[in-house]
Amino acid sequence: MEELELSEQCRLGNNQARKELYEQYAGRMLGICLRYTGDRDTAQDLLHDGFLKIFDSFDKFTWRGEGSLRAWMERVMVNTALQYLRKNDVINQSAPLEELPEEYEEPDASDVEAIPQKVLMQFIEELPAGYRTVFNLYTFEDKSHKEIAQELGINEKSSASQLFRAKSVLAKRVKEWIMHNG
Amino acid sequence: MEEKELWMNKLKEKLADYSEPVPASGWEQLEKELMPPVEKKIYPYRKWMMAAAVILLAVVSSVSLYFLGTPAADEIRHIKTPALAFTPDALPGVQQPDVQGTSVEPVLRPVAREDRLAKIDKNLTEQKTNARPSAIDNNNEPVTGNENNPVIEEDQMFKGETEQTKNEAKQGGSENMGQATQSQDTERSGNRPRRPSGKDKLHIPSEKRASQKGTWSMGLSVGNSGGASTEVGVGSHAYMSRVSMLSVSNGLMEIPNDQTLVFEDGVPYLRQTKQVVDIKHHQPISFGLSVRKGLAKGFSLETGLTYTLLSSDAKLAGEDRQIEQKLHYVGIPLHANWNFLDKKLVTLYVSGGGMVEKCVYGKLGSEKETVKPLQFSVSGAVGAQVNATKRLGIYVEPGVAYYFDDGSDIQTIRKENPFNFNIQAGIRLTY
Repeated sequence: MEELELSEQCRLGNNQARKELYEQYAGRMLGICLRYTGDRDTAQDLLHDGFLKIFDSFDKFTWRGEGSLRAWMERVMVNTALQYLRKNDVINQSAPLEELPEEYEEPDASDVEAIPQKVLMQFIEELPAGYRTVFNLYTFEDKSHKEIAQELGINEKSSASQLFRAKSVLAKRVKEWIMHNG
Repeated sequence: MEEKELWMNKLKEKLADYSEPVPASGWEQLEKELMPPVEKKIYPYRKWMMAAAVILLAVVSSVSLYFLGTPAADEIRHIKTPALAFTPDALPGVQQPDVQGTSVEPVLRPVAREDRLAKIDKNLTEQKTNARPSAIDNNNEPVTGNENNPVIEEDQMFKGETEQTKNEAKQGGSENMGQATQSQDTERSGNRPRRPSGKDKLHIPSEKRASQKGTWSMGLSVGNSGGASTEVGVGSHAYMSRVSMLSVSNGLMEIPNDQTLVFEDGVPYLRQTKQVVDIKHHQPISFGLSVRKGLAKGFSLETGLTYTLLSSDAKLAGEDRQIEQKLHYVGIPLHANWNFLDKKLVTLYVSGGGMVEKCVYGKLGSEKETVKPLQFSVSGAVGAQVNATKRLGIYVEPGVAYYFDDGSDIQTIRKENPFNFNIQAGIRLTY
């Protein structure tokens, strides 16, 4: 089924269409959840809740061309994840694990390219929750620090600081991986 | 910073399409939760109510179907009726002089042979049932026959005095034996068949559609008294077996009023010549139009108009062929309903109420026969309705109904089976 028709059928509550939608997008959505929670069990719960929310709010979805369905679903998933993180106050639990250097050496794009998806995911998952959340919002949702600060109820400086720390941790991991596997 | 953007962009690009293997049972779990919402709306107690109602529906309908289909009842009737018929012939002299009854009978005779099936018949039937019906009947009948001539004149006077009447009856009985043969025979025969029918209520399962609540039953008693001229007599009959009652009323009771009433009854008794020896009732056929008014919380009131046809195959004394008895009733029901499940398409409900019916036209063979008293009844039912639109639906309603004795002498399935199961179906307007 094409995206438009699929969304239309889902809106009507067609069970077959819902199943198709799930099968088509569940993997990606789970990836997003995992990227935000860093925990597989929690991610699966969020995936479940997120899809319920998606099916429940299909009447709010407006078709805006190819890819708009996926974008909308991702947004619902991210919101679901953020809701969970806020509710459990995960974001503020992460104290800095270690004293990070003021500067870090940025990896090359080719280094990143060389690392398998799964491993990169692993790096992100292992970030402290606060770092991870800001990093996700900034990098993948293209949010500004101002928006992130509003979203998470922190100040902008804190957001920027967490992003910086996240990046430095990731850079370190990338380099380590290249060193060991390169 | 540009470099930073590069490696971050690369990261984002690489993970943009990242897909994590999904647990196998993911969709099943999701599907489970997608379906339930509908059910969740049903309150827990309603589930129980629904289960109970469904069971009730099944039980009531199966029981009613069972009874409707049982031939046993008919057989029993037939058997009994012949037995009764035998009794009258042989026993002229009975020990107990139910002279009273006899006295009544004579009155009947002269007047007799009009439409109403004699109450006497019932009395006779009851007597038979009591113990030695044949003997009693014989005595009574002959007595009546003898007395008829004198009694008619004397009746009013004598009726009050039970003992006298009894004596007379005895005497008359002996005398009457010879005279009354034909009329008596016919009467007896007629009486006998009726007896079984009246008693045999158990035998015949019938469908009835009418119901009344307690309030209505109150109205019933009033209605009966008002409805029938024979009411007083009827009332007394009801308390005791009719035969004995009649006799008692004539002799023992010594109520002048009753006696006069008896005479009136006697007029109907005239029918004795046409007494029904054997009667076989068919299932009632009803049509109705009902209107339902919805109230709060799933309650509703319902009334309407029903037509019911009670038909029977009757055999008259002295005739071999069967004739048809057809009684046409028009009734007004009043029911209270409660919907314990109210969906867009289906409504399940319980219903209770009452109905008043009036026989508007009736025929026994080619002769007109009507039932004066109103027929009251109460009923309870469970129903299922499929809603075609918001206001129009098709319903099925298995239930139970009890028909009160209307006090008339006409034999109907309602008298044989005052309590019965029924299934009703129809179209309903709701507003």
